[in-house]
Amino acid sequence: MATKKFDIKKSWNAALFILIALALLGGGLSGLIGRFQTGHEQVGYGSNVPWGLWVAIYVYLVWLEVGSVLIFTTLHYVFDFKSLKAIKGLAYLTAFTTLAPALMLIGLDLGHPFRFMNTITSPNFGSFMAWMIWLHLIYLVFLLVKLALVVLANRSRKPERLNKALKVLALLSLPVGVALLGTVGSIFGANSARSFWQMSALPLYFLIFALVAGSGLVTALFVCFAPKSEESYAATAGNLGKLTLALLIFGAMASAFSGLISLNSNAPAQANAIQMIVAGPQQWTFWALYIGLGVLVPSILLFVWPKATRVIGIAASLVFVSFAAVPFNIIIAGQTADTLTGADAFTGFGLQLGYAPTMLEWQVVAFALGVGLAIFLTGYYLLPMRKLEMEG
Amino acid sequence: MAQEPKDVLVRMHEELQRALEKAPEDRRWVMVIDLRKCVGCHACTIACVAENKLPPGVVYRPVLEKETGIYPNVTRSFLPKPCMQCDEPPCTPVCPVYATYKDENGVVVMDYDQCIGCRACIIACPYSARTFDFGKTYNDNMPEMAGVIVGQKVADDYERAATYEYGDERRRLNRKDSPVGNVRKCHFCLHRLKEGMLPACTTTCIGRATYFGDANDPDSLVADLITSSNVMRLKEELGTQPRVYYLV
Repeated sequence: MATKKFDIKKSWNAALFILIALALLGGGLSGLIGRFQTGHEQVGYGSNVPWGLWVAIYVYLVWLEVGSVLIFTTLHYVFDFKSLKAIKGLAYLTAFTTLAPALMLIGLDLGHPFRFMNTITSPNFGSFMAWMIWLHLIYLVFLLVKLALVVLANRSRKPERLNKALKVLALLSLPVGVALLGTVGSIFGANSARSFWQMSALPLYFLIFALVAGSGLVTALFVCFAPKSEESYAATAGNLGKLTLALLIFGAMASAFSGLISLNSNAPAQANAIQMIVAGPQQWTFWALYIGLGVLVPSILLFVWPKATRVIGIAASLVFVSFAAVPFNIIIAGQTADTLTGADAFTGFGLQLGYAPTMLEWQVVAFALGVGLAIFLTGYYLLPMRKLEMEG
Repeated sequence: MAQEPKDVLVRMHEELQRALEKAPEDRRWVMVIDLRKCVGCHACTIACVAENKLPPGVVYRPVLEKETGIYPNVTRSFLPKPCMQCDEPPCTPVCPVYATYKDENGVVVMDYDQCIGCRACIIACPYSARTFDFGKTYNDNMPEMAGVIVGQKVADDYERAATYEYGDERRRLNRKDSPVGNVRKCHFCLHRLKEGMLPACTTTCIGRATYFGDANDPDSLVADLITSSNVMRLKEELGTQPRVYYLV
């Protein structure tokens, strides 16, 4: 199937992406200002559901950020997928693009964002959260150095040594990435107070979900940005599509079995959480986003048209975008399921038992994503990515 | 002629003075709540709010209510629920910055100036004993009609009055400074104990259903009560070893 080359550098494509970034930034700006002016007064989360949309999107962005780099590094440096070198710089740039809004959202979620430094000056290393923060910062340094090496190698006449250093660094960052995902999963999994989350396998699930979302992102990047003139383009896109499909089905089955265990565990709170996901007020995120757009549609597309690169790109994009619903469902349902009997005797601001994100929360997410997209566009146009694509 | 028994408040007050003479690590503060005597008046909740100047959404001592049966055979039961001051608290190890810990008295406390407001401790508490201070005030949107009603200014003055939690004087003067943006919780009124006064909820209980004292004092009322056969603690199976006991 003949495919038309998608080139972001075409002026209309660039204009479209810039417009989207501006729309996100413009639409979200008043929310951000509201967050600084009114603190946490206009949010939907409370003391019964203390972690809301911002934490869920943070987890989702961590999955994307780490998952995509894990997939790219493993395929390119471990399994020697040479054709992936075309998106080497973009893979790291995209990871940084997701990291920036992730840190922004989790910072704004704090009651005292500027005390973030306390986690550096007086960390409690007995806390998974402290580890998460440190690992995320280490990962950020790895990412920035890798990005710098890509740029330097691209500008250098003798890039071999830089590329070798990049490879070593990429391999070293693999365990850091896995540790980061495991730690984020452990923050939830170690909570005896939240029966839906509490399981030793949760970090493993986080790793699986990150790989699914990450493979979707890497595949979409490759289909969109790798030079189609390369002989191996179609074959590599097809292989990435197959990998995404396999991981997608594996992840969906893992989720299904996890759900079945919760439903049949004879622990009503766990079953409540599943009921909340499949039949609660936010059920559209599960059925429409995750099951529909995230699993069924891409699976069918990838299964029926395994060699059509454009279809692979669309399916992979659907996978990584719609996966935002997964952490949202896990995180919100886990908090609404364990309410103490009689807790509804107390009502008032912050004491509501359920959760629905407010406009301000959506706006802040939009602004953060706008910042991410702006970083991506700036990096794409200012860093010598194009040359890199051609020469690797 | 037999001597009239002392009111439990007087007895607990005397025991408190005795306990305060000991080193902090030698005493073990516990609270005992007799559910058979609780009438669900919420006086303890109100006393706690007034004592600690708690804003909307911050509750240290809720009274949970449960209705059982079908009309006309209906029963209402009440469960006052302060912080359990667990001996193995799940909420303290999760704090990334040591902002919450068990102090020398064995009470789980908050360091408001250290807390970053991540709310991990709220998530970790199996008793939902922690709440977040969102910065709200009761007089938001209250009109100002001088000479007609107690308007926003007067109410605001009251809401900005200092609280003396943990012995520090703090006023909620703006949305930036602690305890706004912090997680807050019951601390057995440590600031009152230090001055020889019982916790506000204990002194206010109209049914004398709340008892407080040093369980390490074998002659104390609480030491006697926690050895009753009808005593229980919430979610004991978790191994958190709560210091709040219920008589059922």
